Amino acid sequence: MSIRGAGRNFVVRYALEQIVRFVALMFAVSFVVFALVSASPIDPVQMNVGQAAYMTMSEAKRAQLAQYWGVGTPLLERYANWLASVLQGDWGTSLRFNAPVMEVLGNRAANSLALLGIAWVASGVLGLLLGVVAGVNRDRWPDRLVKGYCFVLAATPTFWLGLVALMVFSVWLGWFPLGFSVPLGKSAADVTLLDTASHIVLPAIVLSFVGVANIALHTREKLVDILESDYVKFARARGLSTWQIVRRHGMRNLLLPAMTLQFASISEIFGGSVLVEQVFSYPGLGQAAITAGLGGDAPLLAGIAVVSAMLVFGGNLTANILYGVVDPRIRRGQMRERAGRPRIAREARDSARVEEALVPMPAMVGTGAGQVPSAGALPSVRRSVAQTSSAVRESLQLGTLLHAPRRRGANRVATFAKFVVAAILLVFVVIAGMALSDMATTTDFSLKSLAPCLAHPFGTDWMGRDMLARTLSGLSTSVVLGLVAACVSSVIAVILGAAAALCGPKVDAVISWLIDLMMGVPHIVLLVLISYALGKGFWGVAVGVAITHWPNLARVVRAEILQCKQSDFVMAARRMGKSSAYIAIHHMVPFVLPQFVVGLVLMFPHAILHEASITFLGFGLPPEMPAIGVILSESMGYLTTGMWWLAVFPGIALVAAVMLFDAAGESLRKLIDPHTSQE
Amino acid sequence: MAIHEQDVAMCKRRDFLKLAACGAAVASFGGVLSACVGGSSTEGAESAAATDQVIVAMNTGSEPAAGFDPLRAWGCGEHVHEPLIQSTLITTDENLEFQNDLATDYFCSDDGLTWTFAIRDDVKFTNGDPLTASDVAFTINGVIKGEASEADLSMVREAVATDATHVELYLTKPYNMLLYTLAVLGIVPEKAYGDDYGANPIGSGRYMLEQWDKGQQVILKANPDYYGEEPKMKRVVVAFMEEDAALAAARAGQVDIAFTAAVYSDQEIADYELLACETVDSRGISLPTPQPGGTKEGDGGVAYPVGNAVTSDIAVRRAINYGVDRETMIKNVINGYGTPAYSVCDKSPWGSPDMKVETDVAYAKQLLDEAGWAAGADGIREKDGVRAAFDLYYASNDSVRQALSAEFANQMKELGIEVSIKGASWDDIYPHQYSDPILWGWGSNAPVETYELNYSTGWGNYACYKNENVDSYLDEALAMPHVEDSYELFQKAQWDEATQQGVAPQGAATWVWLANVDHLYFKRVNLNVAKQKPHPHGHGWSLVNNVDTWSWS
Repeated sequence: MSIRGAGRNFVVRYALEQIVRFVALMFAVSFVVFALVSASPIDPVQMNVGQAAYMTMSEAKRAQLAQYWGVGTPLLERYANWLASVLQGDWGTSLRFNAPVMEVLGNRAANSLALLGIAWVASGVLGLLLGVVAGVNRDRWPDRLVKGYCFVLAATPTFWLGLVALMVFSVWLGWFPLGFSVPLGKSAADVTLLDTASHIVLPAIVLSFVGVANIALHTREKLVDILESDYVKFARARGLSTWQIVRRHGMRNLLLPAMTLQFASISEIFGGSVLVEQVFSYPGLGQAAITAGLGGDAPLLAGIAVVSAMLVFGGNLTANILYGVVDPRIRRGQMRERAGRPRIAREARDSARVEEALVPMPAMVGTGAGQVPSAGALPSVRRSVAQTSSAVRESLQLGTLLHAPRRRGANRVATFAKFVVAAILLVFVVIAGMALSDMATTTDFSLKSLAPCLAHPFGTDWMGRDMLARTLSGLSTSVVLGLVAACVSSVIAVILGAAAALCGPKVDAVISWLIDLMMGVPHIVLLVLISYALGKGFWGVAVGVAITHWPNLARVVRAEILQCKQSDFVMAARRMGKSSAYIAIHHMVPFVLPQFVVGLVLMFPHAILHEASITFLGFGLPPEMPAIGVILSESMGYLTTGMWWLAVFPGIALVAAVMLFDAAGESLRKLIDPHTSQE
Repeated sequence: MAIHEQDVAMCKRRDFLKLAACGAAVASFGGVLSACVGGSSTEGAESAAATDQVIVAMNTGSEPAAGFDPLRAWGCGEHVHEPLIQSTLITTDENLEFQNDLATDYFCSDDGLTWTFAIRDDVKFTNGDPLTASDVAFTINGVIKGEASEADLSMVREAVATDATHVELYLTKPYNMLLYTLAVLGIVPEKAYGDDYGANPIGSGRYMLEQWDKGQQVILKANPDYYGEEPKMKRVVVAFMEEDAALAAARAGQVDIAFTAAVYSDQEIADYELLACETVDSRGISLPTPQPGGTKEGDGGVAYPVGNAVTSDIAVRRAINYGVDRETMIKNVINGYGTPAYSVCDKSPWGSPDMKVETDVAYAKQLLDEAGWAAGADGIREKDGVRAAFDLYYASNDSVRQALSAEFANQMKELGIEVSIKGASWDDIYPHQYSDPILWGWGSNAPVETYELNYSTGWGNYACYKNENVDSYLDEALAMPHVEDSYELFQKAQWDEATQQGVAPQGAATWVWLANVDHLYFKRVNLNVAKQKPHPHGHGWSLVNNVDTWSWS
């Protein structure tokens, strides 16, 4: 009895701890959001002078608007004013929807939550099933199929998937309506549940596809491990069939991590919903965020960003509390903590969680498979790992990575060749694209809308521009943008990661907080905020992508340095009286460099996908600039016109380039990573 | 104890698993099934079957931000159209001549400062209240006082109801364009007007608002107590969509008539045909006339930079006007669905034939040569170290404008002028409005724009052109008690043969006008759309001005 009582106390305390953390993070996020929106050169008062909402605002409301968002008042003072009224439930007036922000948020959230909810559950279930199928059939065709599916999916921009689905299922097959949340011409009173459902299904399916890859791959890895465990071997010896084993031993171990992952994936799904809602003209929060961002509606943009962070942190909070309640090991950890070893206990707890929740934990923090030492060194790893939209991509890496060591003796020459080929192809694309940039923008109306032919292998568009030149030029823009973003991002990551590892627990805590914070706002929303703050165009996108992508790499660098610090060879060097600088140069750098380089390479594909997405939403590059995002969003207009080449070739080129980067990154990792290269 | 607890936990977890699986299965499979049913049976079939309903796809910009409130922008705002839900004092017919609606008679005093309207006494609002002269006065005074109102009645000092059926408008200056504004200003009920009027409008027009799903659709239903001819179309559904979505919606048979763009005009959709409506919707480029360096105050007191080093040279502006091949541009960019434009008002009675120019590239080059613009090494001209190059801004969400800009840039290259096109949102464009050429869209069924784009202090004088001669003709035109008498004065403001002044290409050449773009729609073959007035700028509500007379065959 006493044990149970103590356990319950601990759970309560643990839950409280989590809630305090949640509240603190919310405050921090609200400040970051406010600061970003405020940093914008766009003065919402100025920009909306002609807008109906502004025109019809009362004097008091206008004064309030100026007080929060206008120029002239110091940032902190404005933040304090804004926060005070937000806490009282007055979020200001939306300038584009001509209604109180709370009202807009309420209406929109109702639509979005239905969509998100369905997609969230469906992706969880589907992901789990696929993961189990793949795990059970490891290395056989179902496994390859699932992995391939996840891989391609992760390289495909969400909005593109939505467009194709819309084309096939709504226009060609006519199974679903073409967007909106209500049937055309039907009175609200006559709208049935069926009507509502039919409008939500297609976007929900597309959205759920976004989340499938992550959970499927993690489940697969976990199941592979389970099936190799002693107890499973024992069970097999007892004559149980594979499916019986999966049911009795597998599911129990799979479900909890899967659920945790799923809670952590809210950020990703929300980010996807921004794109999906835009494609399906679905009046949810995401669509409102775009309208607000493009229209200088600062009060609404800030409101949506805060709500999205609330959802993400809320998901994490639920996951954490759920864990505290369900996992017996946490209670056991608590026993030790009460016995006076709190720190170790916490580490044990984390390690238990990590071990349980995330077989492929290291994958989620970036690229290094299996070599991140003790999970205790990464206190918040589980909480934050899976929540990034990029986790999918990284987990994909892992899918192949965890695999590699199992097949010993991987041919280094072949790997090297693969890397060289991938790298050469990419360099070729960049150079060709730059060489063709003039041709890509040249319009010749006598050649407009030509289907692919010898002279124009990719066809021409409605302004007579050569699509091959445009595609190559677009890819090169994207690659250059990715390079800039990835370099900036890696520098941030190295500095912060190293500082976290080397400058003591306080700095570590601060940086870990910062990382949580960055991951609290869904990437797409954050990108919208940053492009709002910096203005549209190349630099807005580059900085946006750079700022959103460092946390993962920072984690990896931190973990690597921590591991290095505790390694035998560093200890030995220290005993031998080597200076810190010597150790840093001779031991730390070689140890961290591979991770860093690989992290940098792997950031490219994200950067490209994000560039495409943000441009599609109207925040990125201007339409006359050849960029993949521009090309794809333009081709959206021609989906129904039979000009398939506008969409198909650039789309394939994008997916191919992303996969090429993956291939290059993966082979590079294999080649230079001391851990795997020694195998 | 411990074992028991574990069992319980396991049990629960197992149950939870089952529950979760069931829930998800129901959610996903149930959804798919219902969707198949919902999608195929209801919408498509319904709209095809209904004989007194029409579903219209309009662009997303047509959704009225402030609702259906004439005191804000509905009908009489930036893009004018008949307000449908409310009725107006007068209307314009197919020939753009004024007809009485609520008014039974009206006249203007000789000094042009007092307008008197007599109105019908048999009209009721949809809430049952009678419409009286005081409602008319309330509406007009509401526009005058309302800072939020987009309609310009600033020249009206006050409207006074002298009795139940008479209202007088007192003007501060003669202004004969007043009638054009009154023709789109819906009369609102004084007693039932409040803050939420925009979302819950009450009027006396042909239709009443049944439902508004913001961001998606508006449903109008016929007003059973309408005093005029009973609407044939009992229900009008307007869905707000992007260009491509509208095309897809037509293709999927979900709408009866969908706006479309010229780039889609060659599309074949079974059971649909292309409807091209004539417009006064012109695309033109403003050419800032001052030297760079100054500033001008825009909305809200912001100082915007003024002037452009290249277009401030009158030779460049004239050369551009003569050098542009409008016919080719129209053929290339809008598949021929448009006509060359030479001014903002070509097809109107106040349009000047002197605005028209024949394309003459040789003459254009000669103008540039004579002005000292000599071709440099790369073919781009230079004068006194200034390169003949400028940025041209266009609204990035409009594919036709992008293509027009690109084609314009191509043609200018021929002349030795380098034009860099820059797509941006309007918010990003406005800071450049007085310093860089911008591709605009204008056009209305009133001379308002002819006035504002050319008058020195007009809100649309983006070329920043100031000429006393032009100003005085424009002032004079407005002061004519009868609109018809003002036409010649408007024409003289554009080109005055006597003084050889004006904004025409042979004069100051302050703008270069490119094309009047047709408004294109895909409509069901069996939908009879009534004859349209020339559409003003804004590819939106003006289509349904006469939707009450549409029919199905």
